Amino acid sequence: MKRRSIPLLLFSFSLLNAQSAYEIVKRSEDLVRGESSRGSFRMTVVTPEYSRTIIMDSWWKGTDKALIEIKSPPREAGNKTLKVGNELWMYLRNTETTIKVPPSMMMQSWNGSDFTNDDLVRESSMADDYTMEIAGEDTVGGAPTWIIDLSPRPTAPVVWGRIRHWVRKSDYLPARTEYFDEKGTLVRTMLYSDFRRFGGRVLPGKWRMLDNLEEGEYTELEYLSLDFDVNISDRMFSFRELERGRRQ
Amino acid sequence: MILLSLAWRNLWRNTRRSVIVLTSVAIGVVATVTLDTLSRGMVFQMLNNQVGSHVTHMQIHRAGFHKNPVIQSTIADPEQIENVLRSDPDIVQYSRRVVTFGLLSSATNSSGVSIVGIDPERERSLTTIRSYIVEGSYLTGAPREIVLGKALAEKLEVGLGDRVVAMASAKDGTMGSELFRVAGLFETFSSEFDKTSIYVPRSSAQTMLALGSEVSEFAMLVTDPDRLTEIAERLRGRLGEEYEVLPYMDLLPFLVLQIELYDQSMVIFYVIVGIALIFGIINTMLMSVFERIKEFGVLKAVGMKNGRILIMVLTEALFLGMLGTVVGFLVGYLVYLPLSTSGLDLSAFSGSLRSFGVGAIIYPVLTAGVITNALIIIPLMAVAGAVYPAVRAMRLEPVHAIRYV
Amino acid sequence: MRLLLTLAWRNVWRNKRRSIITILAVTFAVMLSIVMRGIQLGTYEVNIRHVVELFTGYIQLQAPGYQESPSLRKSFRLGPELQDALAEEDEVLASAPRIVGDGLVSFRDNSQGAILFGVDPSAERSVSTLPDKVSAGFFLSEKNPYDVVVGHTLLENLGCALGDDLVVLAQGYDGSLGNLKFRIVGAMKTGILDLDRSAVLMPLATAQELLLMEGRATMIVVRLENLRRIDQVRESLAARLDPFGLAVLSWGEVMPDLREGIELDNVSGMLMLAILILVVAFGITNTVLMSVTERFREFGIVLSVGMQTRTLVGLVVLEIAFIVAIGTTAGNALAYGINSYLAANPISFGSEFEQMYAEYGFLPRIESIILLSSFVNNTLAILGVSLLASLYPLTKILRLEPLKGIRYT
Repeated sequence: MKRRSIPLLLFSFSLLNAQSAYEIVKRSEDLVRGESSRGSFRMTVVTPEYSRTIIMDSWWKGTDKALIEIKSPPREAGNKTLKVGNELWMYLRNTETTIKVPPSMMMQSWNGSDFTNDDLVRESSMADDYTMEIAGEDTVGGAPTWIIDLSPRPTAPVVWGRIRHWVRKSDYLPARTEYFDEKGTLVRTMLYSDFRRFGGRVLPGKWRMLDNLEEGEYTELEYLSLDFDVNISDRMFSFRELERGRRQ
Repeated sequence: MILLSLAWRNLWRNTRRSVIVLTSVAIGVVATVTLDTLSRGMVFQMLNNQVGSHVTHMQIHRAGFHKNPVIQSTIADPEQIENVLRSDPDIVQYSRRVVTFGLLSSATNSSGVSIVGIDPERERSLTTIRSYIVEGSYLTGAPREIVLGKALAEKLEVGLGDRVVAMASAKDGTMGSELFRVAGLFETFSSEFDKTSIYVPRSSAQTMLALGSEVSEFAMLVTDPDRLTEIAERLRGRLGEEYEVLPYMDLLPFLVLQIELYDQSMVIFYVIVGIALIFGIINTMLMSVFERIKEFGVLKAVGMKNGRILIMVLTEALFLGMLGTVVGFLVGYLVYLPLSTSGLDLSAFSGSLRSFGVGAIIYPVLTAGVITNALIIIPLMAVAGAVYPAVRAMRLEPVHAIRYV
Repeated sequence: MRLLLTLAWRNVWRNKRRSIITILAVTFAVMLSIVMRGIQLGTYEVNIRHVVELFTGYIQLQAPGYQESPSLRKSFRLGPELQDALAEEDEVLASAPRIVGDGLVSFRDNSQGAILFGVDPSAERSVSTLPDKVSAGFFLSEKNPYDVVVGHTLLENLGCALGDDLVVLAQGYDGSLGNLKFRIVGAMKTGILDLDRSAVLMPLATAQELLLMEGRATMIVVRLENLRRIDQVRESLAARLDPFGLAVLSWGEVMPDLREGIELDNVSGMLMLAILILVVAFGITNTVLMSVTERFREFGIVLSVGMQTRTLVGLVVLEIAFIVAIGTTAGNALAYGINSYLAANPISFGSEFEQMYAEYGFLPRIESIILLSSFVNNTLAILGVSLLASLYPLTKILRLEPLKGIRYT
């Protein structure tokens, strides 16, 4: 009895470990997203040649549905992105056109940022697509964190070879995420900072995506306001809503 | 018959002269045949490479697919087609395929590709793509394997075993995406093909594209490619309007056109070489005719008809031409034999050869066309060159001729 | 010497028939090789001109690195200084700026990737034949900034028609998403599959607006007067444009595959030429040999009355030289005639070929050019070969003994 308990204990420990990694990520994601949210943010795209800033409003319902509308600059104001499941539509205010983003464009930059259209779509499925384990502990920006390694599930249609995710122990908020290709090369890094209170929750106010392959390029998202668990009608995420802009 | 042996013997009365003419004919033929077999080899290679590695002899699709290959245009009932193909005695081998355009992505890059879902086992006896694998292996039949061009792999910065994600519009309009792992890399004769074509298991493609058991294409080989048109016609009759039956000529019209054009231009070249040879022949025959003026006089005096003299001289020229051609052809064949197995390595031009889909090594091809071009055109030109000397010989007045010199 | 020349000249015409035939053989060889070469080089030049004038341009000015990986970021500023610098180059006939970028076009429920070309409607006419390739409708004009001309296959695949509205979506210079609505006014059929399948042409100013490329372009396409002087012009332009930091690329650098393909074809053309000359060489050997052996008796007499073997050989060489000189002159004259004719009146292939080839952007025509080099080279080749071909018969004379010569029948 006593002899057998050691491996059993080990087994349950690893189970516990795996589960807790999953739980950490899940809890972290829930915190960041909530059931539903409505927010406004500023996106700054920086490259060696130029930098530009866009202000957007966004509505999220779960991880499945989202609507993002550009408020400024005037050139792009009124353009919208609608995400339903793993599909994306773009509404172009200027031409009053709705375009479904074809597969051939999924890997292209979303609104000129270091995010791809695919990133928006994939957002939902981190927990579905990866197996996770706690790989250690670290301190990021003065806060103690868990290091969680995410490996894509054997059949998950994701391009990353590995993702390393830092989650703060104190509040389960993400601190840093590194994306590797299969050779182990760091392709891009997301840095979270400026932890502040939004709509009753503490959240990272700035999300900076660095392109590790192109020197000096990054995109920073900065929340201007964010409210959680607001009442958003499903109609929000429909073509009609997309094209509502033309009457405004 | 006497004329023939007379003509033959006349040839060897001045051996040196005949040998020189023979040599010039032979060398012309050797050079022309070698050039012809090599360039023909190049054109054939372009076609055979395409047909052999991917296109196959014939394809069947839902009508309209070839022109506008959308994923909705599918063969809904593959069993029906399969029954027809199985019962047709001329169809040697066939396989179902799923073909669509999509995007292949790695962590670092992405590229537009033509996604081909195949049954690896059946495809093995249908195409030669397997033999172009330079790294890793061909599809084994396991799900989510992918075989892609080395050039594409380099662009995507992936190697064997690495993950790539394919995305394409599925039949129901949603976006299909599927993970694949690199099983093998191919390097074919065509840089374009290497950059734009990928092979995955058919079932994975069907899942990704929400096709169920539907397919986009049947590819097949027939017993006798020369009867392709007839076989295609028969299949059309049995399958009806709903499907299109396309022999490779319809799938690769530009290549077929090039071969036709090549055939014509080569005939012109044979004629040009023939004309160059004619001058040697005219000279030789003229000289031999004037040397024998006395003899012709005698022949005529004893009653030989003009027509027979004409034929005799023409026959001599024909012998010269034929003999030279045959010798030249045999030597050309000796050049051809080793080249046909080793090939001529034109790596210096490999960039353009690969962009034309030829491959860097050219294997000469000896076809009936080469043989008829050489064996008919050159001797006929020789005969043409003898017309003037023969006419001169014929016109000689017997008495005058005897007195000549 | 004078005597020898006269003697040789007379000897040439003693056996008129044989000499004429030999002259004809040389004439034919010279003519054919020059014409073949002329047609070959002519066809290359015509096709190169066709392609570069259709689209690529003789020379392109680009930002460094653009050729390897094109991007709007590798664009450059247009300006009067640049324009002036270009205009100073004598051989430059015309130039036109272009913007090339990726985009997405959308018509009703159909959307498709496209290559966007911003072109200056009037300047484009002076550098390329693109405006002539409009198979339906008409080309762009400055007056209507929101008109587009699209590839005919693209038009078909989108399922739209002339007059329909087309939405073009593209990421601008700073990555922002631009979108504009255009009216399709023309469809073009270039024979270049990529263009026919995915090109969308719009006025340069509109492309600058859509892509936030105010005052910028990704390339300047330059038309030259003479394809043959392209390398000199390229170097001179490169020096002149050095202060602008632009790369100057010739068509061969923009389309390396086409260049290499032509080089390959050229090798096979040279092989054909070599075969032809080889065959002719044997013909000449044969004739000279025959005329020499035929005259052994005569040579024997000449030698026995005291002429030196050297002088005799010199005499025969002069005879050959006369024959070859007449032949090459006639050949050159004929070749000049034929080449000029073919240059002015190209022969078209059958209409079926013509049509099919045209669909793939080739010109199925036999056309020639008059290049001094091909006249000189081929004449020299045949001269050389003829003299080489006479060596063997001449050694026969050297070995001739006076008395044996007389006895020789």
